[in-house]
Amino acid sequence: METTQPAPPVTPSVSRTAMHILLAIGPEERHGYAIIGEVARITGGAVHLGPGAIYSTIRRLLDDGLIEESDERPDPELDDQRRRYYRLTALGRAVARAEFRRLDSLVRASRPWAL
Amino acid sequence: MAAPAGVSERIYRALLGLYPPAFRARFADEMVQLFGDQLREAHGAKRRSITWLRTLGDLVVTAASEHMTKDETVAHSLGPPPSPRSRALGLIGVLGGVVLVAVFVVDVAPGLNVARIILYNLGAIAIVVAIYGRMRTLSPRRALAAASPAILANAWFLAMEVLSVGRPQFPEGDPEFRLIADYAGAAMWLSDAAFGLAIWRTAATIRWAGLALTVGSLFALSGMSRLELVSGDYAWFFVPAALAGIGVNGLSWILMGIDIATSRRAVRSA
Repeated sequence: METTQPAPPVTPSVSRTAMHILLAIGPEERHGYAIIGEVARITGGAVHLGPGAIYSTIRRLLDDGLIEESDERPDPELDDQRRRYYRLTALGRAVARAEFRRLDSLVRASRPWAL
Repeated sequence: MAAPAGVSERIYRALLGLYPPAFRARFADEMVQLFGDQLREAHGAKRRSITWLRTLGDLVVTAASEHMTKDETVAHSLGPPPSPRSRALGLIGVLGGVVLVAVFVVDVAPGLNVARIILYNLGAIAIVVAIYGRMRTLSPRRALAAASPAILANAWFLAMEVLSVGRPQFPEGDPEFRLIADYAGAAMWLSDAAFGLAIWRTAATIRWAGLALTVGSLFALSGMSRLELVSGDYAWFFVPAALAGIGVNGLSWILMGIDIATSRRAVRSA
């Protein structure tokens, strides 16, 4: 079983869109368009984020220090260099883990009768 | 709807004007690029139309939301607390606003009037310096163009008040000195009004306080005796408007001072 890092003293409950974005970024570095594609994939196509929704949430996640912009730029032959890539910070990973644990506990509690 | 992506992207970029300037400066290029990617992936007029409609809905909702919640973060408690310098500048600003507004509430002895105006000008300068620090990360040129005149004009007016100590007061006294003092007053109100507009545009602090500063300063300017608006046919309007303008000006400095001293606003990168 994976050893989990202790949650920080403040583990705020984040919005659903913010959670989708944290999950979509995961251990990778992703740009906005890739995040939208990943959110659509992990939600089975149920969630389509527009540019406004995604960058509004990215703005808040950046301001809260849950994600950060990567300094690295893609190879110009492989991707547009104007793209910005985002990755989770240590705090972002801790907040995401705390949220996943909360959801996991809800799912386990509801499994006997709701699923 | 089925216009080439280049035209669509230009239209979308123009529509991004609906977002607050700070948000636009930060993300407009990425949003346009992302929208272009989505359009290029949508083959056929119908899918492009759906992409456009979905994006327009997204734009209207999130632009309104950004205007209402632009200072909020996902978890507001994570924002850094104001620095000691911000707290000090904010408190000086609040004090300056309070002494200006106090004249409407309590009688101020004539001998204390100069001290009151000095405190007011120092408070205004403190707020402008604090907001300049925020504004320059959003729009360096606008910050410099708005803050410099406001600081200089408030300092000029303050100097004239100090120099007026011991001189005969209006309507007696040196007319040349009086003229220069009036220029200083006009420069102060006008530069305050311009600074308020810059706040409104950049959202460097409470936007409505910036707008109130602009409106209040312009009405206060109308109360200058040299303009003769308060002694002319429309004195019934300009006398109370000028007094209200001074009060609104003072209240706006108080609001901005409180925001600067207490707000856990996240530090923004340019």
